[in-house]
Amino acid sequence: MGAEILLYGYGLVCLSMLVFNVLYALHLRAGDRRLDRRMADIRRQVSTELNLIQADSNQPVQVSHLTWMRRRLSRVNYLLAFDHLLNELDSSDAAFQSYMRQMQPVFLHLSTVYWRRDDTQAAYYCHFLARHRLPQNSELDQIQRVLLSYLSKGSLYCRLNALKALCSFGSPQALSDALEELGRDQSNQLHEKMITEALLTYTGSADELIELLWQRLGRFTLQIQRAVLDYIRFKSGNYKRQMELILRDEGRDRELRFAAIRYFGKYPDESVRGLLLDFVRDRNDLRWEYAAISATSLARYPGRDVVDALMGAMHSPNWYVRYNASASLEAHGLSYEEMMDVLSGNDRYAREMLNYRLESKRLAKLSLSRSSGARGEVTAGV
Amino acid sequence: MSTRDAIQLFLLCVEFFFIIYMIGYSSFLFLSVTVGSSELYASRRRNQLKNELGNDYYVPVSILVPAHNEGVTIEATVRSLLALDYKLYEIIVVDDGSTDDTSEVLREAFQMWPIDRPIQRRIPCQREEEVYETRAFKVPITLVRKKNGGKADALNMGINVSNYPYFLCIDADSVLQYDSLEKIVHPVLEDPTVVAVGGAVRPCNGAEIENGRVVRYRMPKKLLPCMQVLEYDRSFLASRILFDKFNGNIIISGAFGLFQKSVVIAAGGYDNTTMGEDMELVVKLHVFCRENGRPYRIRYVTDAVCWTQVPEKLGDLVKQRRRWHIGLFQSMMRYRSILANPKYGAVSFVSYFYFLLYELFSPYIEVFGVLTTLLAFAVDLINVPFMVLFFAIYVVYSAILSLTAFFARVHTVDLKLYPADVLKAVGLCALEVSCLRFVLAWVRMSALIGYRKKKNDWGRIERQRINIK
Repeated sequence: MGAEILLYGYGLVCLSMLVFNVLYALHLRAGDRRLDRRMADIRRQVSTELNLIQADSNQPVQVSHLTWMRRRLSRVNYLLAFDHLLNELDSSDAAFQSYMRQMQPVFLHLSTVYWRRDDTQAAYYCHFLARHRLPQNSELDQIQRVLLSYLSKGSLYCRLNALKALCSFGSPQALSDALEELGRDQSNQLHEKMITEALLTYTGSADELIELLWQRLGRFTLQIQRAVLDYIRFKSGNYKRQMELILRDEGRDRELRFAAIRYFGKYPDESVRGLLLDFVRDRNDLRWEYAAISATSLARYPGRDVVDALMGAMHSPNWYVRYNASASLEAHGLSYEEMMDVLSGNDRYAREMLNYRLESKRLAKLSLSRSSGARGEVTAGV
Repeated sequence: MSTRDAIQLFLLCVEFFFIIYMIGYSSFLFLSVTVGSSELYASRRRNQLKNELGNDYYVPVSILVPAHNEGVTIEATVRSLLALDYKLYEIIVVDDGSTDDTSEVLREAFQMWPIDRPIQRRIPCQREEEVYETRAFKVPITLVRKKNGGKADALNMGINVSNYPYFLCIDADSVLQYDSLEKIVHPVLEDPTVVAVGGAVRPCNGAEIENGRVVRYRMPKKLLPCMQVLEYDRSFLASRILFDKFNGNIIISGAFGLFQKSVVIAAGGYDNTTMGEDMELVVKLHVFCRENGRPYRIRYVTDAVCWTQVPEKLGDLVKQRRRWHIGLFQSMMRYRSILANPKYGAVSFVSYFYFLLYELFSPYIEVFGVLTTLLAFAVDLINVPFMVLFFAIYVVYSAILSLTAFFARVHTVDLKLYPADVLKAVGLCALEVSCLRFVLAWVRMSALIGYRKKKNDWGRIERQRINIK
């Protein structure tokens, strides 16, 4: 009899889930209407204030409006509606900017409200701030300070969105503090790609930010350091000397040195040419990654010595070194005759790889010529 | 003790066993459906409140499509892959010794040219016969023709040919939703210890797909695929979510799974001596990572969706399920050291135990139950009204669970419920539980007879053209 009771009990709970799902489906159907109603509510209030500001640019936003907004936007569904409404408004309009500036006490209040909410809502609040970048005002510093505390929350999305919001504010100091804060919890790190991508959305002066990040590089975790070096590679070619120091420092983490090699692949520099050639010529299999990445970077260093080193790398026992070296040789635009010593040699692996690159090049050209006339869908060339 | 007494004692033991067995099974179903539904609800809420990574974040992925006599569907599959909204990927089709026009269809449709491509053979596989490439589309497409060696062998070739650190395997009769690649890599970015990710597989028999987007999704017209929709919902919208909660998924469907290439190579790649290469690989990854003390996670994501054709004929369904059951048997037997092994934690005591008892042995247990019932009937030791009541409870309970999983689709972002589909689901759920389940139990029970002869057989199933625009 016990088993039947258990089954009835389970069935009852499942029946409740079933009813919940059905009710939720009906609730979703009405979701758009509810969002429209909330948007209309907020639109009425905001339009009145915008009209007043448009009529008189010195007109402050009414305290009653700020109070109303503070109360309403503390509810996440209204924040969602406000988010939609802001997308409809013209953000370049002077009245809108003045309005958003005067709304900052509300956002400061909301920053503390959503910090206490569950991680999903907290992350959404940060997403909201990141999307609608707030103009400079006295409260912004305080908002940024509160946002730093969001970085210690458990949710990845909360930390990532808080970082993006700080990037949108354009303060190098706050962003640098944020990266330090992110590194504190070693067990809960953001992927370095996420950090680099967030940094790329930074709205202030990239040079100013890089300058500060470089000064504080040692304070960050290795993962964040790698992300910062990648960011610098995307943004500036003015850090060759500093990168060279990393590249030459054998005590440095190898991932940082790899990042430096990649940097010199994008921004060629004669002072490291010799070092890159040494890496490529090195046949020690334990250091094959240095050889493989250097082989790629040397694609942009013209000269016989580079071609010879790359030809030599074609005989490397490591597949990736051969692959990258052949791609770089292709980029050097060598003729078939120049590659003959490899192609006609005894090293089958080197010959096959080089042959493949030559054929790939032919194929890419062929595809390009076919696609230019024939079909719109083709975007050729990889 | 008289014979009747002995039978009575035997039936008492059987009754006790079945009560425990059913409590275990119903508890599992109950947990999976409730956990699945609430997780889907939370996931929808996260999506609504933008708690997700955008498509700015990606890792390079090689998509592997093993194909054997897939001339009917292969072009549509590759076109759907070209419609993916993702920044960096390549497509590799491995034609595993097809005897139809699979390679010709691809070569003509995508203007592919022969090329001498060196292949780094990091995992053993049959040698390539020809390699074709094209650069005329937004991502490179490679076709490798090789001698027939089975699906696992074709996948190993794909891994050897691939250029990127992650690979995604899909079936040649499947279609990926436009955002599925973006969604399936998110766990990798969220947690660097993730070595494999499974996505949701949904039957596309009633779906209309345009540029990788589902524009219309209704229950299929035929009964058999309809019942499979209910079955897939129960599996992909419920039990896999539960297993994911404790890193306990020991199967990632071969139709749609993402793997970290270096770990798969280190573990030895796909095993071409098994029919269930997808399950074998995932169990092997559990064993490899645990034995080597490597922190790892195997994840499941509900919002990365792959659309696949489910068999429309009973004969095809029987072939498919027979193959699955043999694969299950091989994987479970090969890694039997997991059973009751504390080193494997919940993977051993929940996942392995569940698959052993409620998947592998269930057809035998069910048939044993039917035979015992007949015996009890013969010696007049059965309470027929109680038996009917118990069966009715079982059917209603299972039907409620199926419907709960079916209705859980309201929490997924892109699927809507239509009244006619709801009626169909309500009407068919009892039929699926009380009829199809027993037919498939018989199929699975007889699956192991003569399986050695067919271990490299892809199990030919009649393909339909996928409804893609």
